[in-house]
Amino acid sequence: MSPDVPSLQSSALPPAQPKYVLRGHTAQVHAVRFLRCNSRLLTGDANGWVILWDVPIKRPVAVWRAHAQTILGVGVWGEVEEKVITHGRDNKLHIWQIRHEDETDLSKVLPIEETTADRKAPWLLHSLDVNALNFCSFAMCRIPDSDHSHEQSILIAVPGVNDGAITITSLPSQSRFAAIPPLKDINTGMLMALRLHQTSTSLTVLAGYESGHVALFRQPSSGQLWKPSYVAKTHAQPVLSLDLAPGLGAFFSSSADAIIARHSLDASTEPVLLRTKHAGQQSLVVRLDERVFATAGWDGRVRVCGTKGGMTELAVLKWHKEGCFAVAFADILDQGEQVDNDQVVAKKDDEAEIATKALTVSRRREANSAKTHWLAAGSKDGKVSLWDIY
Amino acid sequence: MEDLLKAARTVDRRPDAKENYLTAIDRTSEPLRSTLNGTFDGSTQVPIPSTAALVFGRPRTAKKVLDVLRAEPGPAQLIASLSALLDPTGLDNDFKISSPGPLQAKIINTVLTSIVPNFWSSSDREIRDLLISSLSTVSAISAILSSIQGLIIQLEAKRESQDTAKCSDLISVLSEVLKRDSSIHSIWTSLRTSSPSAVQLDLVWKQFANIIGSGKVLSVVAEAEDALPDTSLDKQHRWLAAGSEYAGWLGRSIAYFAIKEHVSKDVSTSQALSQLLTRALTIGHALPFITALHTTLLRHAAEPVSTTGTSLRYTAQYLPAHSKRAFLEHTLRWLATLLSHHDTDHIVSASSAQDVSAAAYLLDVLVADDETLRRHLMTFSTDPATSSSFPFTIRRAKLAVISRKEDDALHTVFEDVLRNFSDPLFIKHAPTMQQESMAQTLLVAAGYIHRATPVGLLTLVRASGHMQGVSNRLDASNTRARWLGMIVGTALSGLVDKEGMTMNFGTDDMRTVEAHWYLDLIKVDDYLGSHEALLKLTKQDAVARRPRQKHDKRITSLPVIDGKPTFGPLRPPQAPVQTEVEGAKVTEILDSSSDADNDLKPYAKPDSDPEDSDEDATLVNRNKTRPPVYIRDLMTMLRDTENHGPFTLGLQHAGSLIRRKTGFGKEVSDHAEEVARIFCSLQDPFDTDDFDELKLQALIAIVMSSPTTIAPWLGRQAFVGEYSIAQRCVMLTALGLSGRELAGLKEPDELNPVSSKPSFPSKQLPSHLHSIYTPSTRRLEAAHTSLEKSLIAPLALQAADQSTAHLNAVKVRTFSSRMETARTKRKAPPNGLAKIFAQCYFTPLVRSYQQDIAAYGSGSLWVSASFLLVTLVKTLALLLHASGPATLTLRDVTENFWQMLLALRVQASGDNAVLEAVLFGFLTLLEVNANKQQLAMEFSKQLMETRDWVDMVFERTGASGFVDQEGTGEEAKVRTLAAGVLVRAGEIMEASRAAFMGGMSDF
Repeated sequence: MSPDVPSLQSSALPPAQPKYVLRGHTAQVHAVRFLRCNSRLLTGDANGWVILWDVPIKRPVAVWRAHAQTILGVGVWGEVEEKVITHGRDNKLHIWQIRHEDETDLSKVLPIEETTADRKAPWLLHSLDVNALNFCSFAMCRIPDSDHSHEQSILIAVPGVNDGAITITSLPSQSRFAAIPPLKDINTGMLMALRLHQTSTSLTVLAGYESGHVALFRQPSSGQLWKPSYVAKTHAQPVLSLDLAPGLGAFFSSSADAIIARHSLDASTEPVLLRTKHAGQQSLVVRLDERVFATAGWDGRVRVCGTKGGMTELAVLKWHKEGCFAVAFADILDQGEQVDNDQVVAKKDDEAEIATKALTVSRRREANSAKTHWLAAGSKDGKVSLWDIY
Repeated sequence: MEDLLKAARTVDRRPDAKENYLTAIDRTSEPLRSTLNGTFDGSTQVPIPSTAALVFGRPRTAKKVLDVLRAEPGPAQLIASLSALLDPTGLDNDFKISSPGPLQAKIINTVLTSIVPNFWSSSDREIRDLLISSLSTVSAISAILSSIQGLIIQLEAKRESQDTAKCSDLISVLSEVLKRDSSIHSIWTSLRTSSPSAVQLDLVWKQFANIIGSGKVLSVVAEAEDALPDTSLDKQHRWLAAGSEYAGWLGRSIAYFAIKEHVSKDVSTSQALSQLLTRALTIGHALPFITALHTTLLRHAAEPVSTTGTSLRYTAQYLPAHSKRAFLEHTLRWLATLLSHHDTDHIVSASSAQDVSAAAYLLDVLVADDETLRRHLMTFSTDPATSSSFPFTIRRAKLAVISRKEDDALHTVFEDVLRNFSDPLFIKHAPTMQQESMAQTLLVAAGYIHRATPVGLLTLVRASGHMQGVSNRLDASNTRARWLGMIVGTALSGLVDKEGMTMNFGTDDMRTVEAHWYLDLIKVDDYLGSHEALLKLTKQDAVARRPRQKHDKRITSLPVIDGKPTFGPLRPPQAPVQTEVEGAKVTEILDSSSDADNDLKPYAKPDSDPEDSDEDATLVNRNKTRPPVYIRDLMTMLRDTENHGPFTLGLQHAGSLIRRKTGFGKEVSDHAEEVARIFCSLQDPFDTDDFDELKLQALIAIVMSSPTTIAPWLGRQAFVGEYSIAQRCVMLTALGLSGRELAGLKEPDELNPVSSKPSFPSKQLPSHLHSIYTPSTRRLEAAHTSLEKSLIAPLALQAADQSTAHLNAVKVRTFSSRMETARTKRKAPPNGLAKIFAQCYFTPLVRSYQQDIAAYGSGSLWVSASFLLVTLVKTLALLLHASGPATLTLRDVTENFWQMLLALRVQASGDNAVLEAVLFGFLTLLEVNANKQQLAMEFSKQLMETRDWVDMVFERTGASGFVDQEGTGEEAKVRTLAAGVLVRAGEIMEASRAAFMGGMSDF
């Protein structure tokens, strides 16, 4: 396929093609997220509609209009990920409860079929008022050492009222956890991207700004102000997304220009730049196994790169005719030793091994789908493509 | 009689002071406009003074008001005094601001000199409204105008910001006072209620009609606009200086006046209205004025039939006779534009019958009870020149109206027209168009007469005039005139003669489509339409003419991030766009350490992954458009005035796409006219490179796609509609070049769109105009120059040859020159133009030109813009040359073209460019008519006239001493051309003399 790149000829796989395309949204898809052991996919569009897809059968199981305006981000929370977080430009952040049994009550009619009728919305657990005068999605992380074992606590980071400020709220208590002021002496403009990471000892906050600056904050000892432990300006255009790979001690940032930067978490080395020559790299996300990361490009192509030092471009996924805005990886479930999902995964794997023969067709399909290394890309044309990559 | 009695009663009432009060109160307490169910723009609410005004108490006398106004009042005092001024019960002594008088003059003067400059621009609505109301009087308006005039003189001497502000304030006051359609009417009513005597009223109104109707407002404000700096005048007040907008306002106002007053049938009001109308008809923007007047009358007619009619008659009944004529003529012109907006083809389709009857309706209403207007209408039908200046549809409408009358008006018309039509002088000398119009009138009228009284027609036809006419026509040398005679003879004979006795010429040219159309004219029977039909027609027209907005290229908007427009607080200017990352800390890691990633096997690149067009992320263009593949695509792309990309791309590929698709299915032929229309009116919103050239190429391509339909269409299009001079020039150029291409004379630089030599050596255009016009005809100019050279060069060679006749013995053709002759002798491609030139190119252009000249006289664009005329003449000459001696009906073409050129002699003597074009036209004529003896025989008179005139031109240009020795420059060129014409004419005479000698004298 690429005779002009002889070095790749022998070792390259043929160009990837999408496995499935989900057509459901009428507006640009701004957020995609896999949940519940890859059995569900959550997508949100620019009109505020949210669709919960059943991944094995590729059908919607719940459709509702979560916000009056653009969805900025979606997330999940809970033991079995029964709570769905949506963040919209209508200055709201909602937390909905969709348990497995709730799905039957919810509408399955896609927005592409009709948008006028009122849909039943899921049970609303929390609703936060958020300053959303920008495009920055919320960020969340779990608090591992929660006292209340019955309910898991999380932290939600959203942009503050001042340009560049960050507010961190803890849920379900809805109490202010921290307020991080804007960077001093630097005109950073608006906050563009946020990422939280909780290690056993402390909380790490990553922030990307309109000016192209990237900052890293670590939780100070109590009573002290939040100060950036690392600031770098690696982009000429606003930062669009951030994600980190704690196992590699690195985090990545992408922006409206063509640069993807790899920063080290401990600020020990200088940032490494990858010039993709394709301006507008959005929604950078690192896969759970931290071997690859993907960005959604405004040129309509999803780029998959290795996370190692050189950030080699591994695949260019071209299907969408219009710009892509969101990309998500499925969890890697066929490697039982994965850190985060060990409990659930191990359990499920065990089950699978014991009852392999007894599985019905549908169960087998579910198991196969869960193990697939999905990549979902949402585009401006309202379609979501599913790829099986690595 | 009834009218007279009523008028007397009105006069009786006026002196009664009490009555006066009452009417005046009525006026203020119940705004006039509320009684009107129509929607005129704006509304006059009489301002209600705020409570603040009452605190100070109102001045009780006018003198007191003047004192207050002079003493620099505060806003509250101002409100109090102005509202006292307006409230008729507020002041004693029966003081009226609207009637003329010394005290009023003082008050107005004070208001204008001290109140307006202080309060106008800074005050709120209330004070403004009060000011407007108190200045809505005749004397105030004339005072405003004279103050503006005074200020202009000051501004021209020295532009001071203070004067500028004053002047623009005054203009905006004037605009506010006048801008409502009801203003004129309310001025009239207030004047009438307050004027003490009829004489005074008459005087004041005459003054007002003078100011408003004669265009004084227009000229004064326009002058002021010129004197003011560009930005100082608000856009909404500019209508006062824009002729057509002002005329439109005037038309609406007069219509409003008529609608309000016609119920009263009051004679003095009607006379006042007529005075205004007489003035307004001379304002020079007749079409917008008449359009506004009629459309307003039509739209606001409460009960359709009576009101339009009565208000129209009410308006026109007291007009002086000559104004009535002008009014009728302008109305007809307006109807003509109304009917022709969907391109009345020469051969009118049946669908236009409705439109014709709608037009007939209005005419009927207008002339119904008015003998003068009826007479004028008949004259318009019978006079060949006037009649031919209207399109056929209007002639039909006129005849429909005339035929409805019981008397023998139609017979008179028929006789008059027949007399003209049969006149040998008319046959010989009148332009073809007039002859055709007469023939059409004759046939339609014959049809009407025949249907009413078959015997009547028989008597008319049997009279000697008709037979003599037909025989005169059959004698005519002009084929067209002869043909028309045959047509009329056949048609009339078909009506009156018995079966088998009918006249029948049986020639081929009596069986053409056109002949059948003419013969069918006797069946035309138009009914009088309805008010609704006409209203519909005006609405269609309004829709069709809606102008296309030119887009502002620089749309300032918030930046777009992520495909969504941003909003929120204005962002700090995004620190100078930085494309490179600063700082020494950043390193770029190359492939050296990438081996770590090798555990994953990369996928191959997809089939396309183009890199960004630009390093700077803000400049990357993601919406790449593809060139159009279908004609429909092309049309959508060209209509897209929002996006630069598709428009430019569409334009760039238009020419080649059309050529490629020509003959490929019906894609081009189905849309040819639509595409041509798009290109004719195409504006360039994006400053596209080579816009004119690309447009021209596309137009040529579309003409080439079906020359028989598009060329005539384009020829007519160049004269109608609201195109700019440049657009018309492009149309003519496209016609000229496409004709040359048809004839096989391709431009040498056809494939290279940029003409190598900009050869338009114009000195007659100012530089800013030059740059506008140059591109549009550059190609035509190039063709013209090369042709001119090829015509002149052999003559010059011959002359040189003769002057050195004594050296004949030593003249040897050099080798290289022989090569050149041999090379140029290649087989000429078939001349496709010769067959269709007369019908598709020449006739539509010349006919439309003559129609335009007949309709607008010296006001025609083709007279005032000599550049356009020059282009037309050159186009015709080039086309004629390209068509060559083999042209079909060359004789008629020659005759018509010669006539046209001879008619241009006067204009040519005043304008060098026209002179050059006319001489070039003569030269081409003489060149193309290869049969010299025949030319000399048939056109001896024209030939002699031409020779004499050109001789004179030659002498004159030589005598003025402008010709420099090198032989360059305008004068020299003219002289060369004149010499060329003289030599050619001499040759022709020589040839005819030789013919007399029986060819023996051929030495």
